Amino acid sequence: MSAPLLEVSNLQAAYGEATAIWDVSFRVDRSELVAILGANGAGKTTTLRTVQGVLPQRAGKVVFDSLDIAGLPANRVVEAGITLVPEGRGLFSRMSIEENLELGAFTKRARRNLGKNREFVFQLFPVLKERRKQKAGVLSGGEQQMLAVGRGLMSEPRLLMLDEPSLGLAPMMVVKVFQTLGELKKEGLTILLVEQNVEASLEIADRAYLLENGRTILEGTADEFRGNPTIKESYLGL
Amino acid sequence: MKVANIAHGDFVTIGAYASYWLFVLSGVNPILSLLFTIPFGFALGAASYLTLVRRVVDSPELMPLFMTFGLSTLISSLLLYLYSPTQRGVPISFAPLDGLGVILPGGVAIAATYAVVAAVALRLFLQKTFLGKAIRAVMENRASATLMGINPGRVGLISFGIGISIATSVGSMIVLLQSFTPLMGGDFTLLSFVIVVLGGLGSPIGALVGGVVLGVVENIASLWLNAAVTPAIGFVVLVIVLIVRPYGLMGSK
Repeated sequence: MSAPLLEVSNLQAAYGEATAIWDVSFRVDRSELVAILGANGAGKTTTLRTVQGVLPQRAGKVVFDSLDIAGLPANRVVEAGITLVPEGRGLFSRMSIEENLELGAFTKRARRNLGKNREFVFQLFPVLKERRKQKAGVLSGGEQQMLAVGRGLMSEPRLLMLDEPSLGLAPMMVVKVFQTLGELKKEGLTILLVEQNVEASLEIADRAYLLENGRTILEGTADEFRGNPTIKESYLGL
Repeated sequence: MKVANIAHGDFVTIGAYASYWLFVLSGVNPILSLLFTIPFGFALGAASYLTLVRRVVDSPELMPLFMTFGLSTLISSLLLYLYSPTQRGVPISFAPLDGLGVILPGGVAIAATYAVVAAVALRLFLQKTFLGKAIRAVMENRASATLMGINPGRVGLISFGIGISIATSVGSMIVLLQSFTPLMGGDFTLLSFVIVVLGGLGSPIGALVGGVVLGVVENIASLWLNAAVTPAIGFVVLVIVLIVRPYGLMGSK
């Protein structure tokens, strides 16, 4: 078996004095969809931000494709092949949809295939093509999330990380978001997903991790998670 | 990144002195000296960014204000020390343009043309090029821009370089219009704040329109009002525009 695409061991990170994650370890294999689950404040977002290099890590190892990326600034991590679709989407709302997508392809590597990738994104989300000249700020919440995912794909990520992509969306859009992630996984994309919607996440995930108080406390396949009594009780409401 | 540069006008003064000395020492036409003041301004801007601006980019707004105020004082004092407070001018004149019942002094026509060319070029750069879009992205959301693989420090350096290269090249045009002293920078800074806010922050064409509006209003007002009051007119217009369109004439909400 080949080495995992991303391997995080004993990651620790803090906002100033306040330690947000103490000991987080997980791995993501190629073409796998891995979900990180946990309650509010468990450290899920912090974990993604630290892997991306937005937040400096205090201890631990982050190895991406046998390359030690710990301590690299976020823009270099994007160049290495990891793209984060942040919570709240972080769109450039005063710029057009088309410009948002172009900025997604800012790295030299992605810029070469800008046209091809844009076609792919437009196929995935036809509404973005129809409204390509409009400002991102006028889109509905669901459309904005599509744009955020589309913009992430424009960077040709080898690992796409999504932070709460279904947060605040209408139920129909939530279904659409998870459908899309399922399709992308079938295309062979490697995905790391942080979600509150545990049930829908376990539907499409291969494996999952549970975070509690900044520590990974459980690891297993999606099926194992669905069968786990703690998970059932605390997160699935069964 | 929100840095209001109090020293902007002083970089105009630097450009004026550069063109002046190029003319006096080697007879270079001020228009031709643009070829020097544009890259020279970029280098000055990049150097200021690396040594000073970079340190205050993430600080509260007051810090860049203090820092650039200090830079402004430093530049004007240095120019005073080097070149004395003597008024200087470039003795060169161009044939006036005569048409449509208006006679336009040659220097004014050239400077106005440069203003239009610079504003249009800057707008095209910001709207059409990858780097221009990256600059707008960093302006709007620095954190998100980083997630696109954009290095915000590099973008800041280039933006500041471009801003200062425009200031110094404007200095080359100023010498076509008037004489100058090491202390004229402050007047330009004040004017440019009025014009930029009037036109709309972040919009080069807005700045152009704001400048024309201010110039026209001031001149028409001077027909009826005492010359001592006319500088105040600009601020009256500014207040009115800000009440009606708080984002400026051409700016977006």
